Amino acid sequence: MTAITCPNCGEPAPAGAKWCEACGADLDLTPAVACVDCGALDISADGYCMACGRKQPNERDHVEVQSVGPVSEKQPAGVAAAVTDRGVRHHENEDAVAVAGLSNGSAVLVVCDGVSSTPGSAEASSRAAEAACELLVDRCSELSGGEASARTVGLETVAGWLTEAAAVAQAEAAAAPEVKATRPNAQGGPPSSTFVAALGLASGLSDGASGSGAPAEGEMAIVAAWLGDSRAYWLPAAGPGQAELLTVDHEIGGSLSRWLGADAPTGPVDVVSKSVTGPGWLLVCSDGLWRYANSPTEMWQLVERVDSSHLAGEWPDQLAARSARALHLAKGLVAHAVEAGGHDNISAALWPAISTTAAGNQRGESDDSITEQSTQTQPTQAQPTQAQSGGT
Amino acid sequence: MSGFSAEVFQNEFLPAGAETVDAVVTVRSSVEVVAAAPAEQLEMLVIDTSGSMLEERGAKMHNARLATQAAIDSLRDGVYFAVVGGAGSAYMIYPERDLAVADQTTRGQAKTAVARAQASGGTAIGSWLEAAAYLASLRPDAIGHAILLTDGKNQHETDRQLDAAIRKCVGVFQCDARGLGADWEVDELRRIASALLGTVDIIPRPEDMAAEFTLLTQQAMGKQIGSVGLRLWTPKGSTVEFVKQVAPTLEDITAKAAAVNPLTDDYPLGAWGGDEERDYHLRIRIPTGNVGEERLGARVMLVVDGQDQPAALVRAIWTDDERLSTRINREVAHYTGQAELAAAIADGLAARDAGDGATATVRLGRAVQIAHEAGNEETVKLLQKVVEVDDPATGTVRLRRQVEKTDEMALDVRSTRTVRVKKG
Repeated sequence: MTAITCPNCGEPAPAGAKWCEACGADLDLTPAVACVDCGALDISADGYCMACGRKQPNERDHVEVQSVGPVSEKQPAGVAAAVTDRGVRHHENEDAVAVAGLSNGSAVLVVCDGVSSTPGSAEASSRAAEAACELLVDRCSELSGGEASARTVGLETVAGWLTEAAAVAQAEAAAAPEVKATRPNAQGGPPSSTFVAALGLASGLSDGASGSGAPAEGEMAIVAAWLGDSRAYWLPAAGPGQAELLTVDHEIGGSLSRWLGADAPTGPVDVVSKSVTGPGWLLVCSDGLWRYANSPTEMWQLVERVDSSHLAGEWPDQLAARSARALHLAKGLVAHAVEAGGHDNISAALWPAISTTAAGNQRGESDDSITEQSTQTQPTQAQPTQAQSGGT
Repeated sequence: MSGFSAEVFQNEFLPAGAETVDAVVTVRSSVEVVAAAPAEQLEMLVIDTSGSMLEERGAKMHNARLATQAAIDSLRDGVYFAVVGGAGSAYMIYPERDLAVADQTTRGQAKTAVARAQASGGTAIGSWLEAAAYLASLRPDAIGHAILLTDGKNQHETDRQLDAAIRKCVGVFQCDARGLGADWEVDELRRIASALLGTVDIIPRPEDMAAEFTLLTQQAMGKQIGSVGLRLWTPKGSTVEFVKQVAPTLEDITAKAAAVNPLTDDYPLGAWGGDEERDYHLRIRIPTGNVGEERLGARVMLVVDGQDQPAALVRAIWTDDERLSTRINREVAHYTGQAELAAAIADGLAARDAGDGATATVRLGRAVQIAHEAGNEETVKLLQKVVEVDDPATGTVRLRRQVEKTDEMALDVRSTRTVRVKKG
């Protein structure tokens, strides 16, 4: 370890020391951050400018995440990316996203939209999203090569995982501490959030665990569970006519009829599954995005406007590049919603659905680079990606 | 550590372009008073012994002696004290000079001295205050308090002399001022009490004095924290429109601001008991922000024993969601109403004095309406002695022809008493 010298008294101090043991001077050499409004270099610990009072951007205001799953010899990893943004009109981002690339080209996408009228919902949504993603990664770990073949995973089993994910999300949201209502519109209820989790499976589903009725070659599957008005869309390259909204909003007369939280209505969780033929995008999003592109056709067209290359079938071979393209699209979708007015928090999570058989032919030669890339992005076995702050 | 806390009540959501932030700050003390090492305290009893105190066949002076003796009995051992007689000038009743320390002996001597006090001469209240300021200067670290009693106007000195005397007392001691009967000036005593962070009230009948003096002395003995300050940081380009104490009484303290640095001011809150709660209404103009942005309107800190501690934030968040920005904060609305109530009473009484019956009826009617809505039962009762109330809900009233002067003064002097927000 290299020692540093206290600029105040000249005594040596170990590298990384926060203050000088000799004279007590502040040694934290983190460069001062300038206020986004007036440029003053005096930002308080609680995030306000000490000159003009402006609240500085919160680390949750804009979050971008990418995840590349573990690479096995047999199959390429799955990739996923997500972006969540405060938007324009809300002063806080209560949406949360969690994504994880899995082995075998598959991925987990979770979006939770914290309800703004109940204080504390930002914590409820992030806890719920992370817990659900973690659980799905655990359950899918048997897909990561080894004995169990992806093809043997049955629909009922996967639907069960999604139901479990909804249950852990509910438990986490219900455990989020209640926050005293200071907002005038707060109903004073416990923290609450919507929920949508989707598993994109690159190799399809069998009808049962036995492996009988195995899916056709090149077939993939999406299984999603949701509570509230956050959605999952299937947007295939085949065209806007094939685009599909997989979820049905839980909403009655403008109010949510299902949600996560201590006061959430109980009952079975809706789970939808669909066999799909790629390539295409699985999009999981909050209403902050879909309010600007409601129908599946509109959403497909929005994706095409943001980046038409994938829908035209131009998919990068390398996983890192593919993940970057997914992130690029997620950013583009969110940017569109911000430009359109950003009336709510905006979240978009994406899985590029490319069948393993289709991708299989270029696997061998790029394995080394894939391993390298994935080591950088995802050093451990597919863990749910923690929210990373800031832009790229 | 200090046991003080502050809580902010506000609607932080503002419509686009808005620049005004309103908030009510509740300041609470909950301090374990250490009996073994109480704060040094000083109590001064400043008693009018002018010739007018001989009126009512000596009942005024007789009761003033009893009340002062009752106050002396309420002094805790170890408290510095003095009894000052007030007439055309001030003189020492007890001790002969400077201060005594309360114990059984000194309390007895003081009561004997009070029993011998005689009434004669004029009324020069400023000179009484200057005497108290001198006495308080002998114990600069003590929590200084005075009870000032008068039954008359400040006749034997000018207003300027009185104001100059008041200025000498600011920050030196606190003073509760009491007027006996109907021949004193509400505005004079209010000026003294406001400047010296105390209260003002009427004692209509001489026989009520002893109970009032006992209560005031006990309250003063309970003030264990000498000087508390409300420290407000406000952003660059902002203006503090007002800082008002709004409970238990209405008191505009805006002008008492003492600059700490260009963005920070201290407002003196005086001495506090170990278990007190007071409310303050702040209104701050700040540079507006864009929709979706948040700015601090004020950082509220409390200064206790010279140490400042962060307490609460007043925030401004601009929104185009009308459901948010049009909501009225209950505490702010309540105290805005209480301030309007006090103003309506003051206007109504002034119009009544000026012979403008129409304005007086409208303003006192409005006062009845606000007091009724807010649940100020005491104020409604005081108003009823000045007006006939036909319908409190609409504020329909008629002026009474015969009104006791003391009732009118009581309404005037107590118009700044507020009630707190009804909970639930």
